[in-house]
Amino acid sequence: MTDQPLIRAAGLTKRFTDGVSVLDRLRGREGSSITAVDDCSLSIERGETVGLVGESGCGKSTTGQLLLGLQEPTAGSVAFDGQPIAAQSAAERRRFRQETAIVFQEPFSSLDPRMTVEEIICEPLVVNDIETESERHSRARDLLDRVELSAAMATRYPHELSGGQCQRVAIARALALEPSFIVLDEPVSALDVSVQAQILSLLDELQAELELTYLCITHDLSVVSSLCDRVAVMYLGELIEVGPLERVFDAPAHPYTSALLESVPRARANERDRSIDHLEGALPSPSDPPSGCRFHTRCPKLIPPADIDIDQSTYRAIFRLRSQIARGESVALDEFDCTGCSATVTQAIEAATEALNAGDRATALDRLDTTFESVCETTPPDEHTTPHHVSCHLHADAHCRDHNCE
Amino acid sequence: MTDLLRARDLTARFDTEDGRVHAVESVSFTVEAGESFGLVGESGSGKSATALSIAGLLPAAGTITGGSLWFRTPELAATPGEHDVDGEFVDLTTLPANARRSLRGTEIAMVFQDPMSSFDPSATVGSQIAKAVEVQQRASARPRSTRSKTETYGLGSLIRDSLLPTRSFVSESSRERAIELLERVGIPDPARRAEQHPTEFSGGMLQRAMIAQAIAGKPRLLLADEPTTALDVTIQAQILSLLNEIQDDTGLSVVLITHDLGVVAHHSDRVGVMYAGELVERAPIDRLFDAPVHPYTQGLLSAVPDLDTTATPSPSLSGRMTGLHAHELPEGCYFADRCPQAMTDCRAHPEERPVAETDRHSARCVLTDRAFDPDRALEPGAAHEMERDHQ
Ligand SMILES: Nc1ncnc2c1ncn2[C@@H]1O[C@H](COP(=O)(O)OP(=O)(O)OP(=O)(O)O)[C@@H](O)[C@H]1O
Ligand code: SF4
Ligand code: SF4
Ligand SMILES: [Mg+2]
Repeated sequence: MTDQPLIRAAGLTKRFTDGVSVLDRLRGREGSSITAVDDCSLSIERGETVGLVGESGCGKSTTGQLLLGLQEPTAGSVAFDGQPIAAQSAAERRRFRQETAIVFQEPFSSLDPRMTVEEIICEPLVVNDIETESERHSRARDLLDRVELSAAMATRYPHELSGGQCQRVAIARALALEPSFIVLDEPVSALDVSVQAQILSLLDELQAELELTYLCITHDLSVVSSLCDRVAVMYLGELIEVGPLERVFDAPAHPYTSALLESVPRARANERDRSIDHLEGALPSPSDPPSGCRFHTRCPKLIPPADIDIDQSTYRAIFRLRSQIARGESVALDEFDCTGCSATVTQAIEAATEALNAGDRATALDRLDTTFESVCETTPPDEHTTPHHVSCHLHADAHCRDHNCE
Repeated sequence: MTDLLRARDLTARFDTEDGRVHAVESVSFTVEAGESFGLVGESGSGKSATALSIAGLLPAAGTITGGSLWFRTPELAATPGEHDVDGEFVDLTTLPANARRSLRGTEIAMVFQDPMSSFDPSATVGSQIAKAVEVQQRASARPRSTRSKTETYGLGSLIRDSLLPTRSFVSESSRERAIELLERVGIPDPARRAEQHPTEFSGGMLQRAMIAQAIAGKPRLLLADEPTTALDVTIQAQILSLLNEIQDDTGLSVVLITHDLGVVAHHSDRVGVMYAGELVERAPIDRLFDAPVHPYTQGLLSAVPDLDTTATPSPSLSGRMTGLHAHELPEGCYFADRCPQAMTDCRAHPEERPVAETDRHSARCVLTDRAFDPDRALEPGAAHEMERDHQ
């Protein structure tokens, strides 16, 4: 064994383009393209559990599939045990397939309804032509035992099992080839909490016994807190924060991570008194991600230009108005309350109101943009490594931030 | 605080090929005016069936077979009819179907996990909300108290007709009100959005639109069945805060059904925990979290992973909920086969009893009036024979 990370992904990118035929392309038509995963780099050490979290459609599952070589990246690479998987020989590929496995969210639909539990568990052995039938039979019993199901379950069909039992069968199947790396794609999301707790503790025990390495994909932050060592937060295809669990959860560096953590309702008595400072707006479409920092349309910490003096809520309100004007929506700019604003701010609003009242949206917008455009809108943030991996201008060099430089 | 709804021994059954399903078993709780009452429990415990019973929306296979649903509606209580009346309260279960229907939207509204279930994909969102407004206006245009019984009950068909697409008349003022409602639920550019079809809305926006549609008729009770389960947490937080605001503004009462204990903790004043069709514990939110009495509630609470610690939650509940067919239900406590504190006492089916001195906290468990006695403990699984395999 080497001291390489077990998995190392560098610059991983996956673009999906839909509905363009060759003819379309000859006619110069481009299909809509979605960058599901954009320039993501992530390493996973042996025996570690990394949690990949984010909202629906942000690219978590695609990332998992790319790491397992189940999809081809558009750019970037994945190395398993130091070896790029794109360069694997057929034999190496086969070994890689055995070394890796995946468990899906939907416990029932991920199992073939016509197969018995034993057939399901042994399928990977049959496909890879491993062991004799009687060996497989006893292996199936071992695996059932590992996932704490009785041997009597072997002859059952999926529809005779509860959700939790199905998920145990799916885990047994994933373990059949004795993998070292397992992608858990929302492994407990479809289960009741009492069953979730059982499956999480099973996964924990298996990891310790079998020295497994997990990537746990989930939208549920409490699953991450109970299972993972490190956490990677994704937003619209980008990894925006990666760090040790305690650090990220106790002192999140990225405003999106903070907002995610804050949004989760806690199951405790005084929760009613906690007011959640919730994020505005919806998740933008990944086919048309916002410019600059992709989170800027919802960020509660949007950075104003250094030369204006403005509080965050006023700045956000102006940002909202600008977006509405840009989208051609009707706005009541003359009702904007400028009390307490600096002269620069008031002047810009007045000039824009005048233009808008004269029916000149473009000038109004231009006037506002000139004064209020944020570095967050114009420039994608670099990755900063203090306190850990974070992509946010707030963590850029202070001088640079103050001077709003590129 | 005045009561709005008093469910008393509500019992509902589903008839299936395999026999009768005891989906709701003698459930009692009260919803006060303006409060949020949470209903939690695992899948299949009867939460939705309870809400559908209240809304009068049980599917054909389902029937309310016992108990009563006292709903405070002074006008209807003063109207002669065959329904049971107790002061200002009317027993919904005794109302004829069309009268039940006429209360829907105007007094009691329901929102679901899947907003598409409340919208017709082929009509604009605005027109559908406008129709809901129209229902309310027609209902209030003819005060109930001055009408004869037949007229009261005829209202139902009037409403049904107005809900039929295309033919019904929707006034300009209802359209404007629909736009106001969309704005009220935080949909940007509501006038433009009103002209769009449901499929053009994101999940969170459609959930908002469904809430707009539900409050269009100014109901006094909103039954919200997993309204945020399909949403991302940041959007869930928006929807919960919207519900809060609407309650503060209008004094609406909400019954919030969820499997997420965090969601009830955040939103509800009081909670009922359901297990195998029964309400097994009922308490103000702080009592439920700080001093749960029923071992099922205790197990459920300890199974919830705590975001603020990194401990793996304890898998304290093994086994699975009993099936709800008549022949599957044990004689004693339905939870006994999974209960770490089951005693010989639990072989008799426990009654719902108040916990200590307060009547706001009750549980259906022998531990309400005695402590666990190891000498009388049942062997695990001895309460009744059941497969002990993990869920
Ligand atoms: N239409 C139906 N026909 C027959 N049985 C039904 C029907 N709907 C529900 N049931 C049964 O009634 C019982 C209670 O179901 P209900 O839907 O109320 O549970 P729930 O608590 O809402 O669960 P979930 O969390 O999964 O939504 C279950 O046993 C269920 O299988
Ligand atoms: S770069 Fe700007 S918009 Fe993006 S997260 Fe940081 S502060 Fe917010
Ligand atoms: S009645 Fe007995 S078996 Fe049922 S929950 Fe209470 S202690 Fe447990
Ligand atoms: Mg339900």
